[in-house]
Amino acid sequence: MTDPAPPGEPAMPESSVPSRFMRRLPLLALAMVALLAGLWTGLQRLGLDIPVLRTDLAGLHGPVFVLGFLGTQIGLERAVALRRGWPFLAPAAAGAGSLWLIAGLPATAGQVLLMIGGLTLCSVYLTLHREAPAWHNGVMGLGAAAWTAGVISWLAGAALVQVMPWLAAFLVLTIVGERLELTRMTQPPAAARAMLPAAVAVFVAGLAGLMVWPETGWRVAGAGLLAQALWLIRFDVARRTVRMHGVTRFMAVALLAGYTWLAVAGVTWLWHGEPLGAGFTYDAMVHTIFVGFVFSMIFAHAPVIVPAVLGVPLPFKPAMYAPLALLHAGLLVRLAGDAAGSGDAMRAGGVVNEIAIVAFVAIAAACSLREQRARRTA
Amino acid sequence: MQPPSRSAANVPVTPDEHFAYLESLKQEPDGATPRVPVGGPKSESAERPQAALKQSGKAHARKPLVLEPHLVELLRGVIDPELGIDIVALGLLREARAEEHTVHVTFTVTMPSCPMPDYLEDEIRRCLKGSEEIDEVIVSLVNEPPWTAADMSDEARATLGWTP
Repeated sequence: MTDPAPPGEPAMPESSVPSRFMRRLPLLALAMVALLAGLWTGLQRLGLDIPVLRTDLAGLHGPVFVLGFLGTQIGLERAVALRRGWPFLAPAAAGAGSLWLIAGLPATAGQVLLMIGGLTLCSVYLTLHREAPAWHNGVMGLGAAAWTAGVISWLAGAALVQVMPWLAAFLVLTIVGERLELTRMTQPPAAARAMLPAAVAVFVAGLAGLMVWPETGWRVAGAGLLAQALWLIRFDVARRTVRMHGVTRFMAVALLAGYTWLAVAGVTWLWHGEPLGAGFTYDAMVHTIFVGFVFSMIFAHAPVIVPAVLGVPLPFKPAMYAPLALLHAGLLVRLAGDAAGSGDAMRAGGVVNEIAIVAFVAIAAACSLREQRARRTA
Repeated sequence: MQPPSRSAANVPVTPDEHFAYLESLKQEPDGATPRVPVGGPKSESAERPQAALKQSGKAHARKPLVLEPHLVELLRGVIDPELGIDIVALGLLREARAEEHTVHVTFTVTMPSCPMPDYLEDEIRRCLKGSEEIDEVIVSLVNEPPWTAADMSDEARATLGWTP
């Protein structure tokens, strides 16, 4: 990878474009292993009667999903943006660390690899900020710092229930930072532009408070989540692009649905405070963010990020609305189960969530392969 | 709107001017869009971009742009999927010029953290390779001068909800 080329010189030789997929295949493979492990351990945690590969694997569900799958993916996106070699250490370390843990090797080494991934991503954002100072780099950098802080607390012996808010912060702040960058194109009122960093500050203050006053910290962080969600619902560009057609509308629909779930998450954190163990409440507090908000973002951005990162086409098809609808319907059932204390409803909703994710991957793969065949024929 | 004359003073240089220029071409009596042959004589904008800029009076134009109209028209097929707006209207296109059967395109992204460069590069090639006159496309990414919202066309701003 090289720095952006000066005018008149090719940024990347044309002949290297088809090999982009092959070059990034190892990282993609690591992310896919983490995704599959995350899905399998998710079914285990839901209490389904499925083969148990290792009894301790279910405990890795969150870290493997968030850092192994999404950490690798987000690290790869940033490395692709910087067009240099060293940022690829972030996705490589995240993917390798996750694989290490899945394989059942000594946990400390896997956790250290994950920490290296987080630290590298912090360096990526520092570099980006040095080159083009902007608020959104700071917000995304806080996300990478939350990743690192979460792994360090895990290494120090914290329970995964305590690590979870940091993992959630990594994803929330990364996504909010990306949306903040887009506001440069939409000219929200000056007061509104100041409100989003303020909401982020409340969220981060809540996270910091978790270490001293957990009950208050969860609630303050919840207020920050709710404020960020309301801001996104009101001022994000998706409010306008949802009136367009095709992939642009699909992305906007998925984004707005995700923001709604982020607001629900904020309300549950604010209302309930610190969860006592991994029960129904915890299930709702976690999966409104990771399934409702984050996976909706993933579905939304797949038609852009897959071609950008892997160099393979992924044309939008209306069929992609089906898994998106299924994802949100499943989460509604799951939350109804959590609220009613019904394990069956929670399990049913959780299984539907996983079916939606698998269906989306299958539809995306089929669309991409069909398009590649069509282009070869043309 | 009257079609502009083809004098150097009215050669389209900025995205806004290109839109006006392309619209005017659509209104020509024969309905045909004049096409500058790739490999033919360079357009006036390519030869005299600075002179054209000075006469365009656009304060935000920071360096000479060479945007040949027929290439710009093809590159309007490169769309940012999230915004549903093409790279010309977003002001991401910095240069599009032809030398013989080779086309040089220079573009930028809104921020260095944007993961889109490879996607845009592929799309630029895909759009231009559809033209029989083009044998080779050389694409470059630049981060300087950085993109600002002032680079967007009025049409793009209106789409994104900017108030005049």
